[in-house]
Amino acid sequence: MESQTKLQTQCLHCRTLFFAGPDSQFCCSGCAFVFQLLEQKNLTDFYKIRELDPPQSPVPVQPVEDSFEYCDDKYFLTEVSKDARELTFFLEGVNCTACVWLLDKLPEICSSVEASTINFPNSTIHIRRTEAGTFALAAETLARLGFNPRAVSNKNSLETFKKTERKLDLIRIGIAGACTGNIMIFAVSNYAGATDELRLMFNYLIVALAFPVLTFCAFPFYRNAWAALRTKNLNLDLPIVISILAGVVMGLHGLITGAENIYFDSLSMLVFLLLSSRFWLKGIQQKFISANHIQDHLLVRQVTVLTDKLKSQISSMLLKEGQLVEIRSGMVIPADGVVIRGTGQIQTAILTGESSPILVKTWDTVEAGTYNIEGDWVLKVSRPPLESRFAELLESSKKALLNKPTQVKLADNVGRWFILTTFALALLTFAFNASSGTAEAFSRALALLIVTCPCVFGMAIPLSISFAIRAAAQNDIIVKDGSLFERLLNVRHLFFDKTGTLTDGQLKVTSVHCNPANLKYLKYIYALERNQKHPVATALKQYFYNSDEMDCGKVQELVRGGLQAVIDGSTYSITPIALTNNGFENQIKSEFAFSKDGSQIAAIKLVDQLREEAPEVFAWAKREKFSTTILSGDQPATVIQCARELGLTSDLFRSRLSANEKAEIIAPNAGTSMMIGDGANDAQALATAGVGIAITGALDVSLKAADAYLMQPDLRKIPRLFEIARKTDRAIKRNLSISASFNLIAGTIAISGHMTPLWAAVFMPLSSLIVLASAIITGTRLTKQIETLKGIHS
Amino acid sequence: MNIVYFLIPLALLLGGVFAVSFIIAVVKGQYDDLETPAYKILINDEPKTKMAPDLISRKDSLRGN
Repeated sequence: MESQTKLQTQCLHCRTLFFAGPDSQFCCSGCAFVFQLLEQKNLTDFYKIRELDPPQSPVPVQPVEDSFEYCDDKYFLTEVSKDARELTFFLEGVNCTACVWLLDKLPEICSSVEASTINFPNSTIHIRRTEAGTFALAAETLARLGFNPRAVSNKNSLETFKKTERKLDLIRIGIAGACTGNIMIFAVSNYAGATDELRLMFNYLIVALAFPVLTFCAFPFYRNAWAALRTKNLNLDLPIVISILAGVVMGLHGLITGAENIYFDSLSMLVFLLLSSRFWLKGIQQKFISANHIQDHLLVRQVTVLTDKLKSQISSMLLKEGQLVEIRSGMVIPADGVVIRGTGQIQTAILTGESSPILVKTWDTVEAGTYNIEGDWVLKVSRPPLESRFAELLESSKKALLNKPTQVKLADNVGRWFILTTFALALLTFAFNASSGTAEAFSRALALLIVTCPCVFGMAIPLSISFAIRAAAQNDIIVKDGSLFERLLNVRHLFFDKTGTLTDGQLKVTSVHCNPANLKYLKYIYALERNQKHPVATALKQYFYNSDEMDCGKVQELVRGGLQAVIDGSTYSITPIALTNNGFENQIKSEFAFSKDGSQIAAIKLVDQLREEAPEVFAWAKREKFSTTILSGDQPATVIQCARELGLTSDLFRSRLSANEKAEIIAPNAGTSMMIGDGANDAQALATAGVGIAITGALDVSLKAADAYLMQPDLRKIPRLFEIARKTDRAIKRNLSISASFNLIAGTIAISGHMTPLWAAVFMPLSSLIVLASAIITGTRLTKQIETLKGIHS
Repeated sequence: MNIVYFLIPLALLLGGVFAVSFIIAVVKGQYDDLETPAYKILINDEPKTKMAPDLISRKDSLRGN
């Protein structure tokens, strides 16, 4: 009798743990291939470098079978690139120093590449090809190395726009910093007691230096304030602009009359601090969003078009109605259309959430974005990619996002109250002091406007939120918009998608019933399934992996489903076991029989399992008194099974829902709902809910609609996110009270007319600095606390 | 005290030079990607080896499609 012992081994290339036979060192053929290539090229230093800074989440190499001739298509190149010799690719799986090193070597590895520039945070590589080279060869090299490249447009894109904007921001900060620094030299001399001629000269120099700061550098504030006025709104830039303008008026008046304070030093400092903190915030936010631009290029692939016995390769974006496209296994279907020849099995999870493959045959309609698991067939395009339902879905989720009930942000809300109070107080001050002369009354009112600092709203709150975003990022949660943390506080209902959210969306072998005497035959299962791409085959291959190079001759596909082959003179077959009472045709059964010469020797059960942490998270939700509901597009039987395992009663799960229905269920309580989902079919629901969270593995599309994205599919991140939100809320409230007491004191002094120049000069920056320091201290503590938590949990 | 009239323009000039060189650096894109160079610095230089032949030969790539 032969017993099967299975040990977890680390893959030599990607370091994923896997079940291996005695002499296999790689988890998959993709990894083995990359390893061989590197060895052959003397590039095994890759592994040494990786030890310096190992990636956190290893991923096996996904063999890519796309071809990339479209990259050299003239029309395509003019569409996406300014220069026909340069092209940018988005890469998957660039996650450590070693990857950067390897990509840096690209010109040495591939003769088509003249120069390459890697952008690690954006996961992009910009390639300049040699005179004679082709982008196809470069892309193929990248693909073989396991980076799955996609050509990205770098013309007129949002990315280019962001880059220019960032440059302008930096220049503004640079000038503001240089001028403010020099202003301080003169201002300090004046406060220290410079007199007469010297003092006057210093004052003029301060005004001259402040001029670029208050015009060019402060321009974004004026623009935003003007926009707010035009739309009859109040935003945070308005009080800032009022402070600046009031300060300028007072300052110029002081300059002419020879008053002691000309305010320009404080104003320049204010502008510099505000610009810097906003730049910081923007940087943190954009860093985690930039990876999303891949979604715009989802449909760009090369396809083979058939015309009168001729085959030609074009980019899928150029497909037109009526064209015939060759679809091979492992391909994403590029356009809506009809199957006109051949049969295949397609995975529609992206659009419907249905986890089982669907059989398609001649005259069946198929939709863009779905995935052809196996079978070669011909598609007649009825709607080109950009008009497909898939593209419409993308569009509608964008719209849903725009129509989201506008959540009044805390900062805006309190900020508005603050602006109105300050104005009212300034008016009152003017009215009460009118008796002691208009000039005096005016100067007191202006002093009040200047010293009551709006910077807690302009800087401290955004800073606290950026710390929250960073804390979330440390937990592998990408937050699209900081207002998420505020909206999280209102959440009372949690809605979960099933396939891919509560389950990991992949079939796994859960049990094998086999007579011990027959165990030795199980290794033939791998041989049978070796060339299959079906989810069932993938699961079986993973479970029964062995490195024996068995030749099993020709593998036959059986009419009733399953495979059969002759090995060593015996016929082996894997067939689905027909379950009784299964009303759904086209559904792939989850139980299989492995037979030798017609008699069954093993029964294998496959299940799309619940994530192991799901029960824990549901228990947490119960403790926190959240209501939890499962919304699934899957079959009732699977959903019931899933709900039962989580201990939900029958009114708390719904099955066979369409995208619309999910959104409709959420809509009545949108403001207090959180949707956790995966896949484009949830996009609408994600956008409708007050908070939408897309879980990894989800199509990039979900990111368009969702507010946050989990880079690791771990549901425990959801309680973590709530915790961050609550802590941030507390930090913001603390800063608000500090700022309130400060403004109260400064305001009282100003109203009573005791605001001496020295006080004003001390108060303005001091209150800003104290609030900023408070935000930074609580922020760093937050990120640290969350970090430790992470250590305990994982 | 007259030295002030010499030192102030000098200070401003120095400040101006730094501000301008900063702007030039920004425009040239030195601040576009602050992370990748940090990784590259970890990698030691090595003696240039003879250029290896293509990872994928042209023939192979054509056959592959």
